[in-house]
Amino acid sequence: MTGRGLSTGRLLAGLAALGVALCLVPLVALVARTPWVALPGLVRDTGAATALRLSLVTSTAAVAASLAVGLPLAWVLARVEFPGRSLLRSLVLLPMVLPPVVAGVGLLAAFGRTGLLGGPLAAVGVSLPFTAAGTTLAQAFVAAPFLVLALEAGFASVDRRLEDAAQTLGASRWTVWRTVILPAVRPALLAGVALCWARALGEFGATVTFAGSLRGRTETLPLAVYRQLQVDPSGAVALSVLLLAVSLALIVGLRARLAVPTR
Amino acid sequence: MRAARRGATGLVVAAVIALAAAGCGQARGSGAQTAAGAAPRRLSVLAASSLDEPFRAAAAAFTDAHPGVAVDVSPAGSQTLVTQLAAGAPADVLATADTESMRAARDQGLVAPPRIVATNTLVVVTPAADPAGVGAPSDLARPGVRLVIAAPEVPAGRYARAALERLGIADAAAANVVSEEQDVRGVLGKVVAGEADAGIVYATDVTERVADQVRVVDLHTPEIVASYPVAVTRSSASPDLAAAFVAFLLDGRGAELLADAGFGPP
Repeated sequence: MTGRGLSTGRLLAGLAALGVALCLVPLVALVARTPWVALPGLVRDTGAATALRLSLVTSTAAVAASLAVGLPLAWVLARVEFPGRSLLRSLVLLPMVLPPVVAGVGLLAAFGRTGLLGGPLAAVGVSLPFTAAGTTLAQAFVAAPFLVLALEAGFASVDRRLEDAAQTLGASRWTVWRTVILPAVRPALLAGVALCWARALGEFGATVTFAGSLRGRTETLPLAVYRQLQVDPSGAVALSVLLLAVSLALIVGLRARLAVPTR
Repeated sequence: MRAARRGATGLVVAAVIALAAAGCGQARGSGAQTAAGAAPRRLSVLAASSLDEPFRAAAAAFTDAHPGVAVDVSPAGSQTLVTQLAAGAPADVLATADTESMRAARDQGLVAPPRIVATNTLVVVTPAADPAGVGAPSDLARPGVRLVIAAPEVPAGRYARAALERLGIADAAAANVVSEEQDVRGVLGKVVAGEADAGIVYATDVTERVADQVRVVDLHTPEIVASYPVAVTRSSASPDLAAAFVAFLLDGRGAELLADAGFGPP
């Protein structure tokens, strides 16, 4: 009996190791391929700084936009009972599982020049395709569900009795939010922001479909990696390592913040 | 509790086995698709995206002439094709839209000596409604015209820049570029979708399928000529068959199909 338990244990450990390898081997290979000595020159020549700056600006704006509409939406989904709530939840999460290029086609159909809302918008002088704002919109569209999902779970797990107690003790609605709800959802909020940000930073398909790609204007770091791969694979590796470092910093930074208040 | 855990383990194991079995089944299935007896023969052709339609027509005609041979055409920007080939993509024939990309493949030892099978010229296309009023090439330099061209790494992008240079409007037109696409069909797509005011594509890109969705404006740069070299790859498993396909494009039915599609003679 114990022998059998041990062998299943080994099997699971083996499969888990396979999972780790699946995640790590491409990253290790990328780092191993990196021409470290030539890296600064490659990063300079490939216009990486411009693409990185654009990526950081647009993804940060996408996270801000996602927060502005995603936080209230997550609250509604978690705390307000209404018919069709589970249907709405599924619809809101749809962009998460949609192929990004399909998201891009959808955005064109909606906000393109001949799109459903694009025509009226153009009439008032707003045009989104081929602009950094368009890039941001595409990123927010695909990344916001990650934030909503994490926050909804966070709101759902807040102990309602604490809110009631605070209210009984005379706290205003705003005070309850500030002192009870927000501290309780903080870990969920940070996890959601990290995922949303990383997804926006890495966005490719919807961005290139909806906003196009132009160096210095709409070419984000993932688009630059793809372009570089066509002409100079070592330049693409250099840009990829840069993107990997930024993503890693994002996850590690937010994880560290995540751990402090919960301990 | 333990029983439940063991059950779950069994489920994982079963799933892994099922996946592995499915994988094997698929691999076996794809090999045995063709008629019983005859060994399946497959040619894989990497073709510049502007060659997509005529090459697919030529592939079908080649299959008619060589029963039991299937030809797959995989279109992309020429520079992408060379990268794919260098990375080990299984292919028998490489066809690019410029001699530079082909030379890059030659220099890396990826292909046998190429032959030019066709030529092409450039045109300006606008959406059918022509929102920016582009009546002549010089209009591409007018501020506010949203111009889309291929990226400088793409043959079509290089030719387009050369043409704008020749017209003396390189700088003004460059300021109007709102997106650089990774292949020429990406340029056409942005124009057909109505997002771009104008794009520079090959004359042959305006196929019947899109003819009523775009307007063609003559670029007046007949001296800018794209030539299409085609070569058998060094990694081809059936170099004789691949050479037969190249010959078919040079002076067989394939050449007629290229001419029908509007390509110029080599």
